[in-house]
Amino acid sequence: MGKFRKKSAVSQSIPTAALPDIIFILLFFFMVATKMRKADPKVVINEPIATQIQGIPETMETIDLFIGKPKDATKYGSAPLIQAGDKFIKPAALRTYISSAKSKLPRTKQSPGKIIINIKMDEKLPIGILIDVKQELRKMGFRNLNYTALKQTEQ
Amino acid sequence: MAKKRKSKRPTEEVNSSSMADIAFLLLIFFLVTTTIVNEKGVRFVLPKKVENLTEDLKIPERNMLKVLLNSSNKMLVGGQVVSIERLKGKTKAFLSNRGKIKTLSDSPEKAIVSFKADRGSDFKTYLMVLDELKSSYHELRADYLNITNGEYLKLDPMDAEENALLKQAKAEFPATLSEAEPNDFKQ
Repeated sequence: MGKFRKKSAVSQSIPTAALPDIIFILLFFFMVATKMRKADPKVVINEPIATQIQGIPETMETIDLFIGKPKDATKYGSAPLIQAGDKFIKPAALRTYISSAKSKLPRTKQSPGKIIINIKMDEKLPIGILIDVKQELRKMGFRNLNYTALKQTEQ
Repeated sequence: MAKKRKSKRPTEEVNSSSMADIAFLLLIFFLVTTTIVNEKGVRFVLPKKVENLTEDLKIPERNMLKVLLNSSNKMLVGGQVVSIERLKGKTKAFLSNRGKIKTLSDSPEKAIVSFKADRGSDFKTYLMVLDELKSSYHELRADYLNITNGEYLKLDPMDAEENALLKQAKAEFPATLSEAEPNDFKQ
């Protein structure tokens, strides 16, 4: 066996030319996998757990409604409220909110049959408020609902 | 000025070491501003709005499974107090009876599950009951198609072949899960 000779002229730096590419791949992954939230929930929502979870078809549009107790209890009180967009509304005002939200959607997707009302509600609340919302939605002809829930993990 | 010698000339490469930093900044920006939005959930179709309830629908007693949920989150199924664990079994037996047992349904097409929840019951229990009722239908359909429940949930109505399967299963077990009109009572 030969003797080991200390190489002197070889540079010690790690080539970092491919690093930006790796970071860009990560970046694109996040850009694709995440979705910008339309409105920030101002209410506390602990999602319930369910087994029969289905995604929303890509052909359907969604309108979000949040139902929960306000995070800022000193300002809005501790009674459960409905948040539509950035505002808290009463069930009676749903009609105006939904029709304005609908008008922002693409023209071909404005019929009630193509819209899913996505309801995010806190699991601990009594459903009285939800019943009011549902009655109001039925009057308007919006019958497709989605109750946001987390998937139950098999034990 | 000294003369330049060819051998000492630095390599003509754009310095790209800061490129990674720029990409990192972009990445962190996206990580902070976006949230992975969970839009998955339990789908439910509301019944049509009925203008006048004067017409009484004549549905034989045996074809109707009444599920009632009260404000203390207790359940009454077909007149009996039933725990959540037994609800699915009861519903499936009711739906797939096909006239065998006198008190249960004639056929899956005629069977109606009517779910009514009190205003005071909490959303967690409400959704749990709804989920169990839906899963009864889904499991019966999945069994009919000889697939698992998980596979059934993944069937895509956009795909022609899978939609045909869905239609077939829905024809066999139409989801006649209805939510009864809420009474106008206050707790």
